[in-house]
Amino acid sequence: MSLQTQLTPMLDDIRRRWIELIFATYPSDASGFLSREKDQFANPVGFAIRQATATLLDSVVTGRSEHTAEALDQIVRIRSVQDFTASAAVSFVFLLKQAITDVAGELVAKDARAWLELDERIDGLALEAFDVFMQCREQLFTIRLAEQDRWNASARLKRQRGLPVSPSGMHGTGRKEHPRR
Amino acid sequence: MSKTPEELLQIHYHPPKHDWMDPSIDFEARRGTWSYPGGVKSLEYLGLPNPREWSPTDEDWKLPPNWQEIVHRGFKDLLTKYRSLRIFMDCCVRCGACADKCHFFIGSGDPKNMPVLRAELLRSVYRKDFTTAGKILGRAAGGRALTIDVIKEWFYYFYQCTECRRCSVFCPYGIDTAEITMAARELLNLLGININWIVEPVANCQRTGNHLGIQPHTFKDNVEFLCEELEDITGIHVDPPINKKGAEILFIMPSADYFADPGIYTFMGYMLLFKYLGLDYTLSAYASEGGNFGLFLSRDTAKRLNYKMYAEAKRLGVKWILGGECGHMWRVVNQYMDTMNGPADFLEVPRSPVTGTVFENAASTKMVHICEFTADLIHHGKLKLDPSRNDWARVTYHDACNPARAMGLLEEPRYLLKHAVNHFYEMPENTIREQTFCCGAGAGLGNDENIDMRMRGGLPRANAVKYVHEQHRVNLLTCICAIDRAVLPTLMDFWVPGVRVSGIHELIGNALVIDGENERTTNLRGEPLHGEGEVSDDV
Repeated sequence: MSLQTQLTPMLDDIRRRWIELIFATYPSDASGFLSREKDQFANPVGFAIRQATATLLDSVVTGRSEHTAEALDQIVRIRSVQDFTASAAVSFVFLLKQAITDVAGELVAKDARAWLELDERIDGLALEAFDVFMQCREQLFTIRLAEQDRWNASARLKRQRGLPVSPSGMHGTGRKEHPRR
Repeated sequence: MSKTPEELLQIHYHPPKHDWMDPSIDFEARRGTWSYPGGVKSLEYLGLPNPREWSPTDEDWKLPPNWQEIVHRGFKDLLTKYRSLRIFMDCCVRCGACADKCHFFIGSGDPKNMPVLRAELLRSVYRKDFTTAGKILGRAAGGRALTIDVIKEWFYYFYQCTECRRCSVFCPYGIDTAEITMAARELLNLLGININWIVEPVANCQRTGNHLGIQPHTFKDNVEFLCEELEDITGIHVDPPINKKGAEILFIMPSADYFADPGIYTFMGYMLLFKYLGLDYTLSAYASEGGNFGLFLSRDTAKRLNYKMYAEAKRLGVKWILGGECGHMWRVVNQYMDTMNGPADFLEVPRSPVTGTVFENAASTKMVHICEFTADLIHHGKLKLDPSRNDWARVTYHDACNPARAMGLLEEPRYLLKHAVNHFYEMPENTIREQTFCCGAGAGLGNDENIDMRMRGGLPRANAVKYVHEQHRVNLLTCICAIDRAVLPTLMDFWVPGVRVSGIHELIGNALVIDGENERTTNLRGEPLHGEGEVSDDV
C-alpha cells in the first residue's frame, strides 16, 4: 500500500497538527484566539488558515495543484502584512513536514522514497509561497502609488483636459520638508 | 560565515516571552506600521510644544529634559478635567470582553492591540503615579514607571488605534477606549510626539479652513470645475453659491469630496440634489472642511477646528448647517460640540425647507446629517429616483464607525440605498451597524507609510466584503465617510479586487430624475449605464 493511501485516514489529524503549529507562530495570547474563535468574520486569519490548509494538504498528498495558488494566497497575503520577516511569513509551509512526522512518523520512516516525494512537493509549495509573498509586497507598493493619484483626482482630471493645476495635495505633502525620511 | 540550509531552517516559531511591562519597539524593523512624525513647520504654526526634526527610528527622540514631569502634570490635568477618564482608569476588571474585538488585533495577532492591553499601557502608569497601592507596591499592584521606552511604546500603539469604539460596544462597563487613546495622544503631544498626517492637516485647516490647505481661489476653481464636469454628463447647469451671506443653510462637506476620487462624485451628487430642490444654501471657502483632524491630536485643536465651522455660520448669518458624508466630523458634532463650543444658540433649530420636518435631534448643535435630510425628502415623496440607473452596481454598505456608533445613524443610509439602487446586499450581521469593522485607517492613520498596519486593520472589513463579493457578486462598497472613500479603494485593491467604493449621494445623483436633463448615458463617473438587470462584471 502506498504511503499516500496509508496517510489518508490520518489527514485530519495531520491538518489539525499543522494548523496548531501555524497558530503557534503567533504570540501566545493570539494563538488561543485564533484556534478558539470559529466565526469566519470574527476571526478571518484563523478561518483562512483552516480553509487553505485543507486544500494545500490535499495537493501535497495527491499531487493535484488546481487550487494551490489560491490557497497559498489566502494565507501568504495575510502573513505578508503581519509582523513576520519574509522567511517567517512562508515558514508555515515547512511546518507541514513536522506535522506529518509528528502524526505519522513511523509510517514515513518505513518508506523513505515515498516520503522524499512528499518532501519535494512541500519544498515546491514553499518556493511558490515565496513567489506569492513577493507579489503581495510588490502590490503594496503599487497600490500606494495608485492611492496618491486618486487623492489628487481633481488635478488629474484637470491635467487630462489641459487645464492649469494649483499646487495643493492630500495630506502628507509636508514630507518634502523631511529629507531624512 | 553563512549558515547551512539546516541552520537556516532552525526557525523558532515561538515568540520570546518578554514581560509586557518591559517594552522595546524596533521601529526600523517595523516600517509600514507607524507614521512619520509631525513636521516642524506645522507644529510651530499651531503653537504646539517641542517642534524639532526627529524620527521614531532615532535612539534620542529629543524630548525636553523635564519630560516626565510634563507628562505627570498633563495626566493629572486630564484626570481632574475628565471624571470619565479616571473612571476608565479605575473600573476595568480585565474581563477580556473587548480583547478580540479590535480590528488591529484580529488582523495582526499582536496582543498589545487588544483594547484591554492597549489601555493597560496607560493604566499601568496611572497606577504607579496616581494610586496609593501602585505608589507603594509598584509592579505588584500593576504599576510601572514612566520610562522613555514606555513613551515610545505609547507612540507605537496609540497610533495603532483608530478610535473606532468597536471594543466599547462589548465592554460591560462602557469604557470608551477611544477616549483613552485620545488621552494618551494628548500626553504625547505635550512632548511634541505626534504624526504628520494629523499635524499638517490641522495646521492647514487652521490656516485655510480645510485639511488640504486649499485656498479660497482654488476652492472656487475646484468647485466650478467639478460642476462643469457634472454639466457635461447631465446637461444641468449648477452654480453653487460660495460665501453667500444670508443664505438659509450652510453646507459643509469633507474637503476630499471636492478633491479626491471617488469623493468628487459624491460632491456631484450633493450639487445635483440641491439644484433639484432649489435649496437656498451656500458653500464656504473657509468652512471648507467638515472633518476635524484636531480630534486626533488634542482637545484644544479639536475645539479650534470645530469652532471655525460655527464662526463661519455666524458670519454668514445662515439659519442652520447641513453636513456632508463625513465620519469623525459627526462624532465631534454629536458628542463634543455642545460642551466645546455650544450651544449654537445664534442658529435656528433646523427645519427642512422642502418638507417642513423639524430636526429635533439637532436642536442644540443645529447641524443635520445629509443622510437624515435626504431620507426625509424620500419619505415625503419629494424625490423622483430611477434606481435602474445604478444597475451597473451591486451594492453593499459599510457603516462608518462614527456615524454608526457615535450618532446611531444606521437606518437612513440603508433607506437611501434601497430607493437609489436595485441590487443591495448586507454584509454579515457581526460586521455591520454597531458592530461595524473599521476601515483600519481612521483617526489620522490613513497615510501611505502606515500601509502594512492599514492592511492588517482593514482585513476584518475586507473579509466581510469579500464574502458578499463572492456570494452576490457585489462590486460596489458604499460608505458615508471621506476617510473611507480615500482608503477603502486601496484596501479593496489588496484584499478584494473588483470591488470599488462610492458615497451614497453619488448613487442618489445617478438616480435623480431632473427636469431638463440630458438623457443619461453614463453615470456621474462618465461610465456607460447598463440596462435594467444587467451587471457589469468588468469593474
